[in-house]
Amino acid sequence: MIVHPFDYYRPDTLKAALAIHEELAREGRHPIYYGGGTEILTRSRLNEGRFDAVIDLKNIPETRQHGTDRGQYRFGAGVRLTELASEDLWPFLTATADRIADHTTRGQITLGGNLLSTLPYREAILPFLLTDSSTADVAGKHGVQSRALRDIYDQKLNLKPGEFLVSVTVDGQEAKGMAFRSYKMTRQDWIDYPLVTIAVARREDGSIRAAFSGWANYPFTSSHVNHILSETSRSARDRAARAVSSMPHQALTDIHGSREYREFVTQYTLTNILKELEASQ
Amino acid sequence: MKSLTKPEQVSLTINQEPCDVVIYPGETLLYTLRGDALGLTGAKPGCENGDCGACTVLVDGVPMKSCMVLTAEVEDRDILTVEGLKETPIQRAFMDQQAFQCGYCTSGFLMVGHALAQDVANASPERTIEWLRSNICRCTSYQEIYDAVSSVVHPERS
Repeated sequence: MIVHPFDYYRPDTLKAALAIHEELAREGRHPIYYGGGTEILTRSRLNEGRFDAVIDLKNIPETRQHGTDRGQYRFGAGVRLTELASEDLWPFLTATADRIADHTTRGQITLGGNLLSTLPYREAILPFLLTDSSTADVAGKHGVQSRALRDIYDQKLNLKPGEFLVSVTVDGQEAKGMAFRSYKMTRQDWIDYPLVTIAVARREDGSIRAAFSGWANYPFTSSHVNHILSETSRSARDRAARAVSSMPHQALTDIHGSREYREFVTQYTLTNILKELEASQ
Repeated sequence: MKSLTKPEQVSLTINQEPCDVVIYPGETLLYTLRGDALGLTGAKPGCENGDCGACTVLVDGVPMKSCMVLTAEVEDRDILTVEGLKETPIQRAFMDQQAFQCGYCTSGFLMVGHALAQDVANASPERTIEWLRSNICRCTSYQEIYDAVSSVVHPERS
C-alpha cells in the first residue's frame, strides 16, 4: 500500500532533524517525527492523522543510546522495545514494555514512539511514573534539555512544537532499589490492548506506588492511591478495594470491558500483586 | 541527510541480491516487494494493520511486518523474504509436520521460525510461543506450526 503522499527525511544529527522540521513548518507543511512507524502507518492507512512529511529519528546516534551513564540508566527514544528486553537494563521496564503488542511488532516499536503515542495506553511510561528521578531529554531550539518527567507529564509528555524526545533517564540506585510487579490484563487474548496494565513498585522505604494504563484515557499514578496502598497494617485485599474506589478517574467502559469489569479485574490483580510483593520481603 | 520527496530509485538488498527499484516516499515494504518490479509475492497482504503477520520478512535478521515498514527506511539493509528460504531447515520442517492448511499465513510463520532458530540458541517453549504469537493462522494449525518450529530450534528432540 502507498499510504497518503508524504515526504520522507532521515537526518543523522539532532540539529538536522530540528532544522528540517523548522523549515517544513515555516513552509506551512505538517511534519511529524517518526520512530518505529507502526502507529503512524496504521493510522495513515485509516486516513487518520494530518501530516505531509515524516522525519525518521532512528539514524540519530543520541536516540539510540542505551546503557548506564554516570549512575543513570539512559534509554534512547529510538531504542526498540525488543532491544530494551534483550539488554534488560531495568527489569521493571522490561517487564512492562515486553507485554506491549506482539514480539515482531515490539521489534519495530521504539521507546519514544510508545511514550508519545496518541493511543491511551503508552505502557512503557508506567515504571518511570513511579520514580522520583526520571528525566526526559528533549531536543529543541535551545539544544537538548533535561527535564524532570513529572514536570512535563500531564496525561501525556508535553513537548513544545518542533521538539522531540531524545532519551529518558532514571537514577540507577533508585531503579535497583524497587521491588516490582507489572501485569497486563487483557479481556481474552494474550495479544491485545490492555483492559488494565498495573505496575507496582515497593520502594526501599517500604512505601508502595502504583501506575495504571487502560483504566483511563491516559496512564496515571495517584499519590492518594499510593498512600492507601502503603498502609501495610491493612490487608492486601482491603487496600486494593480502597484503592480502586479512590481512583482519580472513573474506569472506562469500552470494547475491552465495562467499568465494573475493569474495577473487578484491577482490584483482584492489585490484591495479588500486593500479596506477592509483601511475601517476597 | 537522506530524503525522498518524489518517486525515486533506491537500492535494496533482497535475498542477498542487490536490486534497484523506484519507490514512492510513503510506500510500504510489502507493496514494494509485491510490485511488478520485484514480483516477490511470498509476503502476503493480510490485515495490512500489523495484526496478522502474514507479511513478515526479516530486516537484518529481525522479523518485521512489512506492511508497517517504509521501503525508504530499509535502504542499505539486508532484507530476507520467504523466497530466500529455499532448502532451509524450517521449510523442510513445515512440510514434515504438515504445518499448514490453506497456506496463506505460512510465509509469515516461516520467517518468524527461521529468525528464531537463527537468533535464539535453544529457545525455550515459552520463548517460541512468544515469537509465534506475532502471527495468526485462521485455519488454526498452531500445534503443527509450533511442532515444526520446535523441531528446528531443538533438532535433538525431534
